[in-house]
Amino acid sequence: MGPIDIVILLAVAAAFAAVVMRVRKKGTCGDCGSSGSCAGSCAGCATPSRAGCPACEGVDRVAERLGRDL
Amino acid sequence: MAETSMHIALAGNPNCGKTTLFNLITGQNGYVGNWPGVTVEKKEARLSSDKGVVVTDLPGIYSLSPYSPEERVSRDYLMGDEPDAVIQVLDATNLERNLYLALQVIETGLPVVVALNMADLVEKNGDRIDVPALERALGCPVVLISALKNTGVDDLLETAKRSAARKAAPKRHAFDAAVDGVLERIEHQLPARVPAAKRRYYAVKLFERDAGAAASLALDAAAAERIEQLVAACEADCDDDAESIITGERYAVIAHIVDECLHRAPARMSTSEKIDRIVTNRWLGLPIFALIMFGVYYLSISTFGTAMTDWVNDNLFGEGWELFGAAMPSVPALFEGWLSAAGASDMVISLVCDGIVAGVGAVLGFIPQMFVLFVLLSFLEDCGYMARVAFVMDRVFRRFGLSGKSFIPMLVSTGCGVPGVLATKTIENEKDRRMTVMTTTFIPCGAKLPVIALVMGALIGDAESTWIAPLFYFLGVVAVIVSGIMLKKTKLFAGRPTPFVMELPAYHMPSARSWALHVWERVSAYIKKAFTIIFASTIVVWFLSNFGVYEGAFGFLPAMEGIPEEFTNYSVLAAVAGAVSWIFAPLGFDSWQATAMSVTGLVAKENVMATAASLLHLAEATETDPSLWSAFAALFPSVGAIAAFGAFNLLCAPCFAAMGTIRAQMGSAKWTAIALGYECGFAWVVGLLINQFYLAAQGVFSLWTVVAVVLATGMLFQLFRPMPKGAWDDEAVSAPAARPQAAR
Repeated sequence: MGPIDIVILLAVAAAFAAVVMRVRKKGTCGDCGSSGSCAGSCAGCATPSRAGCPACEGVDRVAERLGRDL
Repeated sequence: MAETSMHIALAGNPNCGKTTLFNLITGQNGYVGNWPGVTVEKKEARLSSDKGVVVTDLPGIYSLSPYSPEERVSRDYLMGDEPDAVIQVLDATNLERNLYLALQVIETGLPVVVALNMADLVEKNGDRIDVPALERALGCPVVLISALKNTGVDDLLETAKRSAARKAAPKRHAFDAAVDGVLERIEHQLPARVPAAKRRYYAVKLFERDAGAAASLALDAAAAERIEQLVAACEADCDDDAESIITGERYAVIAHIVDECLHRAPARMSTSEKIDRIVTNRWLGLPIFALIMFGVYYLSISTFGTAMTDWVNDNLFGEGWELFGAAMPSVPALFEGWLSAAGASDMVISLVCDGIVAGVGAVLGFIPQMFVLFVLLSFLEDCGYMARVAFVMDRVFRRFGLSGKSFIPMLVSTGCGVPGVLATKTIENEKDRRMTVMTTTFIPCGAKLPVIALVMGALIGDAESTWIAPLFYFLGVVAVIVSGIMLKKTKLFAGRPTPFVMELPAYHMPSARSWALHVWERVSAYIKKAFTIIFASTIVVWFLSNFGVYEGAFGFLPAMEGIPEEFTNYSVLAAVAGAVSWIFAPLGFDSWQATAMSVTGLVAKENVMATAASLLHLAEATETDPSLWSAFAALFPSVGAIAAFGAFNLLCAPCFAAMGTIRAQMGSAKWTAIALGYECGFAWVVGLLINQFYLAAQGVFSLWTVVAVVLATGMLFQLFRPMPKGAWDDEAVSAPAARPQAAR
């Protein structure tokens, strides 16, 4: 195994660890533009997509949004 | 920061144009936060034209009764924080309904200015509102505005500032003499500290037996008892409950105001109403929905989407492509070239090319299909059609004890199951909420699209087929309905369906910006997921499938001497997946590769495709036929087994993220186990039925055929047996007695 192999393996390992830590910390919700950063809890969420997030809105607000005229 | 001289609150029904007005007058620079203790949005900002005036956008509500957090927050703000004036925004096209809240806000005794929004639409409809008459009837200033076209807004703000400065309380509205008499006597029981302008409001609230109002007044026991006697006597006289009496009185006032002030044009059916006569028709509504969803999935997976996806898979991640006549290498070839030139070992080249690039690339290859799907779904949502679907589905769901409210999370789940499950949090009935959580992820989310495409490709190869992809969407819908019917007949979920009320908007062409934003949000989420969770999973799958034990030695299998070409059969993944593959034998797919795909699919559904690409890239089958579809199909003994694999993976427990959300929503390990157990069990049974009945049709019978027949009979019995007696005799649903909105 040459030096280039070690460099690539280290880079892959670092990326892997970063993904695992990110997922562990922030969850993997995939619906909004903040996917990979949604912890599944609306309290304290400060993403720009929050206003249109169905998870934060709940059934009634989604129904209201769908019923919006303009 | 300018000194605050005045506070103005914006109140109104949902969708009356309140937020449009707020954004217009504040220059959209509002602070968005939450009211303490509740997840209700709070918007505050200073007027663009006068920085001394702070405007608070209250949540859209239908009444000031404390039934929902929004209503409680609005009431507490108006009565506790006491803004200098309230701008009550009314949708002028729905005057009757909007006046219900307006009367309650006027009752608070605060200076009120009524903003009649969408006045231009009233004119367009041929109706006419007599503004001076309305001012006289309501006893407060009324201004015609159009927040969208910015007309009348300056006049409104000046009027509001004048009312605030004058502290002009609107006039009180007369109810029936008997009710008014009781209200006056209740006012006499109020403590002296309650200001004159607010005495009527508190009298009405105490009449309605509003516990919050009673607590805030800290009435002594004698006064409370006297009030209760007055209310009870009035209830006996009117032969109705107190809340209904007040609701009835308010509507009587509203009817009088509308008669006097609104001059309607002769009734004429709008275009939306004409379309709705067909689209929401009792008999045609469901077939039309089926036809539209068929079109959506057909267009995304079988036509435009496929053409683009095929180009990406065959060229960008396949054999390369041409740009203005120049040959361009494919992405894997590019990586392989770089790594070889840099002197990387075969193991590292394999990890990067066969593992990461093949896995992530296979998922990214579906972006075109995903794009077309989300373009179509977002259009249906934004043009107003999906609101009709909820209305149509409410009729269907109600038959088996669920309401249209349960359809909303399913609609959300076409994007991703996580927010779909989370959206159930506002379903008040616990049994309905649990059942919705359990069934909502049956609807294929965006991540399941590659699974559908993979299975479809394996089933039909190059043949033309229009129905396979939509069939898998309808499999999800049917799974929800069948599960709903079966579960509702069990003690765990028996109960009356929750009432569902929803407005149907006029059909309109979505704005290009919001349409594009919706599509971008969903597609970018898919891309992010490919580079995070799928990336990590492909690395794990590559290691597990390339390392193993051969002739007693553990190591990197391709480098081992004398190892057969099918070296993955000796891998750790083969050993682990092979140990549990017997579970899927009755479903027709007991190969360790198919089992590994199903198991990695539990991490994220895209992993089914990523794992297939990673494993099959190494397989011999790809050498004779480069198509991933045929390599995948070679893992299965029959078409029935492929279909069973597809059904199982679409219906079984969702991804880890959704499972975690189910755990959070259920709030108990027991209910989480029930939910995930039911989903996996149901998926297994459907897979079994598909495979065994396919085999039976081919003349192949076994003990599992008998099991399939028994299970199918059991399901049919549970589906068609009558609802058990008393199944709907559960607790009353805690919904408001009279909400002044109605589904059409």
